[in-house]
Amino acid sequence: MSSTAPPTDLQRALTRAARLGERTEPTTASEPVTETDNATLHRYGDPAHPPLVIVYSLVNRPAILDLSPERSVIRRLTEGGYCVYLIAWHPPGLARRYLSLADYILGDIADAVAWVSRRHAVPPHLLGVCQGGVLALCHAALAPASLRSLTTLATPVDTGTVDDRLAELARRVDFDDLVAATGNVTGPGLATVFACLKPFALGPQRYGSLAALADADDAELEAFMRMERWMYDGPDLAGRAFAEFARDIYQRNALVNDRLVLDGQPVHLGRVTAPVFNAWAEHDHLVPPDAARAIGDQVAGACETRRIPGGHLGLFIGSRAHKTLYPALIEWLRSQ
Amino acid sequence: MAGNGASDQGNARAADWMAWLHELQGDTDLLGVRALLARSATALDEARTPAEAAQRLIDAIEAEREQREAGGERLSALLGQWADTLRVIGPMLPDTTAGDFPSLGPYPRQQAQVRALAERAEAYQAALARHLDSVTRLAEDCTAAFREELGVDPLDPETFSARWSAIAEPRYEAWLAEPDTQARIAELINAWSRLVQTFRELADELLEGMGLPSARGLDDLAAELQRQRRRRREETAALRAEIAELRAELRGDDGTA
Repeated sequence: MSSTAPPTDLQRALTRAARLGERTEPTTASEPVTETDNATLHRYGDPAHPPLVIVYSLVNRPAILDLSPERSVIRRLTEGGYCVYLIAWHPPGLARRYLSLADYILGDIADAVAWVSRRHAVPPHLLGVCQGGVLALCHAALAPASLRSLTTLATPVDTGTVDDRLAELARRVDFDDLVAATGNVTGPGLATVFACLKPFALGPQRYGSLAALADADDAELEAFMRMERWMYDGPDLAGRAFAEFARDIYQRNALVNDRLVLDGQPVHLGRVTAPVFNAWAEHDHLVPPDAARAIGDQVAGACETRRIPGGHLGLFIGSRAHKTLYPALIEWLRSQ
Repeated sequence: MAGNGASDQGNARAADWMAWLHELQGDTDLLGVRALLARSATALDEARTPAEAAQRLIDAIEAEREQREAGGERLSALLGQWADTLRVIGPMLPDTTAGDFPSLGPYPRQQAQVRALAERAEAYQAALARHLDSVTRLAEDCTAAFREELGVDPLDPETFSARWSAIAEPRYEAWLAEPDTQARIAELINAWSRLVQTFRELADELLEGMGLPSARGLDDLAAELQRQRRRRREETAALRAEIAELRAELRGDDGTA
């Protein structure tokens, strides 16, 4: 009986999605320009324009910044007159399980910023996304003169605030023991942890909405599948860097408590003198507003703030963000 | 026939190992939330009446709980087999004492590890049981509310899943926000981490005893590479600072000109 029953909307959507195949090429054209120890630096846009370096999170892949032409953060920035450089992290193999936050911040980010400064003969703007915002803040605190400005998007700085579920869950976990067991931390494992925070929204509700795409055009279905791949195809994380981040940022709240030290160098956010543009989403369950808002109280320079209705991803792919946030950011960058 | 018997035994042993590793490889759904959701969705998808929806949901949750419990028990049995195997092959290893005697002499590590494996397996099972009890209480609360809603308001089967989400989601989020839940989850993760570490140590001993590469050996190499990487980074940073200083001096902007 079931073999002759008409397919449900979900079955039809899935069949169509399977036929679409995986489009792997990025939305915006780029070229790799140099390598750092753990990343490739990709350039987007006109090299004659002022430079802006994006530090993406070590969790997930930066495809979310360039998901479709209409919702591409990178495209907004290049159209706004910036030569964009993306630090695309290489997933660590087992031989790099002991990579530390210091390697990424004092090594790769410092190298990328220095390379771009030499090429353009001016310091770049730096833009950090989510965890990448923390890494960018640390660089800005340790090498304040190397930057023209700093932008942080959905960046967790104060993890001691009320209802920071991720921080609460992390509080009693022994992360050194965890990475001693796992080596590197797997991308699928982390994706499952994030999905467990909102299992219904990311499970039945999300896949219910896929059924509604049974008759949608290919582009919409493809956008859904690209998002699906992005959510569950995250790279592995170097075990030590993961444990350091979880312990220092989430358990010790070390940025706000002024206790973060990288390779013997104390990281004081009060030393961030570059002008800062800080944006967050009002209903972000991964980086609650209070966790991100705190940056303004910690840095020494002027801090422009923007909050956008919606959740974590809305900050990067939401239509409101693309209509209001990124034009405001570009205007602010021009004024620096 | 004798050949078949040996082959069957070999297959059974391989299956044991696969089950063993499967039980330990829990980091992709350690809490079981994903599996629970998948079972619930399938159950609701197949239901045609409210009563059937409620019953299928309860059955699905119970089936997942039973599978998790069975997994914990299977892991314990497999660990027992593994410990027995270690005792049998103990004489092959330089750092072991075979048998059930207390460890004497200069090589007590292996026995201590076998004991630790049993203790940590027990701790993991206890943490898993506490977590499962808590999940069961949550599931019972959700299914009771679901039944109540189905009883007063006849529903279209197409909406079962949406109603279930609307009832279970706020309860799940409130459960996740409880400090006790967070403590239990941390306890489960920590117990799992310690169990896997102990297993790794034992596996390393076994491999190294046979002159084979071990995870510990690879860790040593990775740690050595990391020391060299760090040294090189520090040297590069120092050289860059020196070059910047020299350039500044050449430009005469070192503050002394």
